[in-house]
Amino acid sequence: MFLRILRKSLSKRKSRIAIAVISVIIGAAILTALLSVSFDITEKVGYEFRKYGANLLVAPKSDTIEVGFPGVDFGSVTEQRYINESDLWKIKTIYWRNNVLGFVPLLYQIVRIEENEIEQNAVLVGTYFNKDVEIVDPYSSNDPPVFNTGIQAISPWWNVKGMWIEDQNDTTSSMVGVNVAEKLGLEVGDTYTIRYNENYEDLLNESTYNLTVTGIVETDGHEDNQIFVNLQVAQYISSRQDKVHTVQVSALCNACPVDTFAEEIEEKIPYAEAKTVKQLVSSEMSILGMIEDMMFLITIIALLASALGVMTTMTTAVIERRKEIGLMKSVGAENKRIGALFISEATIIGIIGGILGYIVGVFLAQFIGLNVFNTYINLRLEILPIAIGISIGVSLLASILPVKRAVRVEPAIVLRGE
Amino acid sequence: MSNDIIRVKNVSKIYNNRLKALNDLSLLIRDGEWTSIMGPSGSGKTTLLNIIGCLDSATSGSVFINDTETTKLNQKQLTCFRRENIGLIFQQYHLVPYLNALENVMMAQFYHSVVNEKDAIEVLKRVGLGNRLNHIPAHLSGGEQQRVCIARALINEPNILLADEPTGNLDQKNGDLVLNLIKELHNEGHTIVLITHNSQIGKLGQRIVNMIDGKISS
Ligand SMILES: Nc1ncnc2c1ncn2[C@@H]1O[C@H](COP(=O)(O)OP(=O)(O)O)[C@@H](O)[C@H]1O
Ligand SMILES: [Mg+2]
Repeated sequence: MFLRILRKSLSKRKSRIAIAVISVIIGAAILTALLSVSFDITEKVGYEFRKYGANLLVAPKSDTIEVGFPGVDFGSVTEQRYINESDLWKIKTIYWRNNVLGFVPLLYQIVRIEENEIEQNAVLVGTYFNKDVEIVDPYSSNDPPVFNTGIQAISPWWNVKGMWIEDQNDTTSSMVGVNVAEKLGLEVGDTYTIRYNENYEDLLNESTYNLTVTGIVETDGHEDNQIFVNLQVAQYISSRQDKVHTVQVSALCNACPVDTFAEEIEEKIPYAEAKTVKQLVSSEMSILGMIEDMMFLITIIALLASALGVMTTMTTAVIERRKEIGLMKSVGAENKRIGALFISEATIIGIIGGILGYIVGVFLAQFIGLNVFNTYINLRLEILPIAIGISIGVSLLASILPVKRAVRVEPAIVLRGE
Repeated sequence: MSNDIIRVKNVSKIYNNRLKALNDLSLLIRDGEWTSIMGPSGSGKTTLLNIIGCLDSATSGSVFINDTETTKLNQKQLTCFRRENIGLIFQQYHLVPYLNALENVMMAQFYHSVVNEKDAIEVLKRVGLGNRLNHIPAHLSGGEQQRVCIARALINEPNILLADEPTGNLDQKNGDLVLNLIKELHNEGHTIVLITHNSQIGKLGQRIVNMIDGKISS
């Protein structure tokens, strides 16, 4: 019977209810839109920032030579100690491991190339392409046992002509920096020979190794002068099994402390030193923070407007229905049952408004995304319960005073004149 | 003495600290009696009915109904007491506009205890509305609406029926229909207190109480 009363009281007063629902829709739509945009842009901004490189650099502790970041001074790294490749999985076992989006080792070797009558020195860089790193001892048993990472994940902005190296076991492919390729006249598909001295001092015993150009890389950075191969190729050429010079780590970190991040990595690999790229990270965080603050403010204002709309409607309803309330009381309804009726109405208004508001908000998010950020915003279903929950909360809060008023109506009014 | 179902003792009702709507009024009503209350507008008839009907509280004095001192009950107890003992019939019917005749009656069941559709249909048939169950008030005539109101007052089987000008908004024919119904209920043993301006209707009661300025004049 209660549901029958509720259903009829709602359906027979459609236009009144509609006003309340619409005001909830407005709030819920803006909430949904801004949450969607915020989540999405946060992610995309994080991605944008990562374009500028990794935000953590792991190097051997005794590394006295300036390891400029992101450019590295290659003339002197050969004397350095190394990080063991077999320790790299530990980076993915820190507390903040889920914020580690990727890491790549870098092992450098200077090589000489003679091609088309031209002789050219270049830096051969061994790194990961699409590498499956086995997590030997995961932080938690729920963690996946293998982590796929590679230069592609960390530096997706590379402008590549041809193809990325896709196979982690490929020992003949290379990606050549655009400057090197131009000087040597190399095209995608060409094969060339690199020459190197296994022993740094020994200039007489030169070895050779044949590589194919899979892709040509253009970054406007130091990569343009380098040649990239799978790590095991560089290790073989330089006879440094299991060794890497440095590791770049990409961490997306909006809320977590990057310093802690670095410290934890140092704990896991005690002979290594992790340096954060502080300015980059803090500006990343501050811009995200600003966007979120602004959106939070707008959402609060929108929700206040919704609350006001619901409150007006509910107050009007209580005044209009005074006689009805008095009647219910005169036939024996206790205060709590009168309250329950109005609270249920408010809840239903909240639910309907929340659902419709979510739908409107999804479109609004697209509009904002396309106009302000020039990007589509992904639909996020997890926002739906948030939108409904907050809508219910807002309409309940807005109904507190009207419901109190309803409960206070005296049954005696039913015998009084109009 | 023991068959006085309603005992009003020295009741005063003061509105807004000044206006004495009831002035030291005492009244005994016997079980099964039909009492007509008459008097000019503003003499306090409705105020008296409100207090008897547990819809309002007296400023001073005491009211006993069935040996319960209702003037001592709190709001919640009053509500419970009212729904067990009192049926109300209003001049303006006060039907819930979005519920049909049957649902209006069932609502009273709902707030009393449990809903029983069969009983609700039965009582509507009894007031001659068996063919109007699913009509909303807007689609019923005034007389029909008043009969829904009576059905609603009867559904929880109260002993006492209080009616404030039940025919005030009805034409002769519909008024007679309603009054015949009330006569029937009286014959079945209900105690009836009925306010009216019409001396013809007043005479239907076994007893007429005249009020002036918050007091009983005769
Ligand atoms: N809620 C109220 N607040 C203030 N004055 C009231 C109220 N109800 C009734 N009165 C006053 O009390 C007096 C008696 O009213 P009422 O009992 O309605 O008389 P009747 O029903 O005989 O016409 C009137 O003067 C009326 O104006
Ligand atoms: Mg009156």
